[in-house]
Amino acid sequence: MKIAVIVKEVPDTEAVISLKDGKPDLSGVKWIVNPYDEYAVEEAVRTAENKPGTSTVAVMVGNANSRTNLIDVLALGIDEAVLIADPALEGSSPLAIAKALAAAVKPLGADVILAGRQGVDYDWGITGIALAQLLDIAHVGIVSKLELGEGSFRAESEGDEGKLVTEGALPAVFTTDKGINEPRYKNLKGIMAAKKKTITEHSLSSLGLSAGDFGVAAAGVELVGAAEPPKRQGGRIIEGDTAEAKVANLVKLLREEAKVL
Amino acid sequence: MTKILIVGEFSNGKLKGSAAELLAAARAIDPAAEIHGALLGAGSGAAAQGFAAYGVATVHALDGSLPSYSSDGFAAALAPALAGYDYVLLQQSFFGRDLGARLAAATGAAWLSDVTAVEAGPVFVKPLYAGKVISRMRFSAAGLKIVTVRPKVFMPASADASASVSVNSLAESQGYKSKVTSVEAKAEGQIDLKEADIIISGGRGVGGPEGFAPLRDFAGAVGAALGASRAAVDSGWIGHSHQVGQTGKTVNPKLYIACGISGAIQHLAGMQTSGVIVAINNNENAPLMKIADYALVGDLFQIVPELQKQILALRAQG
Repeated sequence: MKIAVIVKEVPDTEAVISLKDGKPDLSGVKWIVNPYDEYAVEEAVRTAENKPGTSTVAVMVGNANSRTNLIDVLALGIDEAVLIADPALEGSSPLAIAKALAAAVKPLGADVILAGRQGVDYDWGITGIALAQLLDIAHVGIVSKLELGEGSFRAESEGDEGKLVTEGALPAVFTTDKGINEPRYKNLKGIMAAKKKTITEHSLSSLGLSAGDFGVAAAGVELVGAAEPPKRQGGRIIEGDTAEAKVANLVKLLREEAKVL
Repeated sequence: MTKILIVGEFSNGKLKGSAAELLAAARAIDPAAEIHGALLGAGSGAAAQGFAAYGVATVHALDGSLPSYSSDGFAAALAPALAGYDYVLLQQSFFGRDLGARLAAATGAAWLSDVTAVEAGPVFVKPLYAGKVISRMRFSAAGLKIVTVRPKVFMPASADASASVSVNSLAESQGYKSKVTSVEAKAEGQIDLKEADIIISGGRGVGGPEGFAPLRDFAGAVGAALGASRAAVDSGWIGHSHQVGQTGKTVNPKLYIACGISGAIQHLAGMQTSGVIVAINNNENAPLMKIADYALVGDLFQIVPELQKQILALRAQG
């Protein structure tokens, strides 16, 4: 079995995102592997451990600085990596990113493609699903449990009405939710092994793609402006000698001032 | 004229109220737009009549002996009907996002997810980084645009119109690559975080899995949803489906009660648009205590049961 894992970089979730000229200013931000992608990586590594003969490859759309995070992914146990880096990709729509990924993933002949359910930056939530559509294969979104058979799958996800069980045929894309597994930490052995692993670099032209289909100009959506969320005026301490008295004061305020009870 | 398709959802044969929010969003894009509906799944033909009260006269329906959902099958059936529309609107639900994303890839449409407001232009408001930044975006090219709308942020359009609904039956696609084979309904009385008017949430301060018991009691008695901070989820005290914030759910209830939550930036990002925030914490210097509308310093294990008692007493008075 061959497994491809789609990973991307996002600003550290601890980061405060500041604004400059009405746009998010990411110049000082630390970049990490998208947290939801860590679950995809772990699922791939675990599957390979349990199914002898399975090979794994990570595929990332990134830039020249992305190798550090990609090497970390290899240190977790992924066999090799593909890095798609091209200045023309800057500002591309998520659908264009999915097209670049599809061009890189298709020749790999993967049975299973794993990706995080969404990037915790723009939260588009489309890339993995679009990749499935472009490859004309099945997908299941927001997967919390995955069972792989011979050419078939059974996946669980949290739907609107309750837990969904989806069944279908491989190849397929699965977008991973937090909770599907408990990602491991990298260890020294993995870090040493990663140094010997291959990272294949691609540009748009080496994937047979045209730069004109990528970037801000072709994105179809543009940022008009950005602002910080409205500041909350808070910090009013509710007084009272006992828990009972404090709660009585709170309930009165919730009813008469805030009008939510 | 702008043509907008709103993809509704239905359960137990009835169109869900989310359609009224999509209709409001559609009218915000263009008050003069021609608005059509779509409904997919077994029984959708009958449920499509629910659009009548909103004055929507044309509804595309995929009805028959269908699986409850098939992302590729439903997308294949609806995609050919999208020609001629400027916008497709869906709810930012599991179904709406899943189908919408697949449709966008199938048609090459521009994609804008999780929109929380529409301004003149139209300009679309979309939170980024789980709400740390509020962006304003617009479409910059002609052609189909697919938008998902965050639940509970648009004032629902009123259901006071009437229309004679004409149903356009969509042809079922041949062969499914995948399909939903079972749906396990949520436990009785369990309220979804994204739908809840009141959320009670616990963090590191609850001390362990058993510390959630009084919060769960409160939620059951008052009709609230149960939330949690990442710290509590990562400690294994409660399931991830309860997590509020970045890498969890973004929520906007009328009342958010945070118990023993210090207020890490990832948590604040996911709940700061709540109507009223109450924080209960031993430590009055916790960041969340500073942004809460009402902060109670004290032992949550005394305060939460007392709050439950007093709210129920208030309701009993009517």
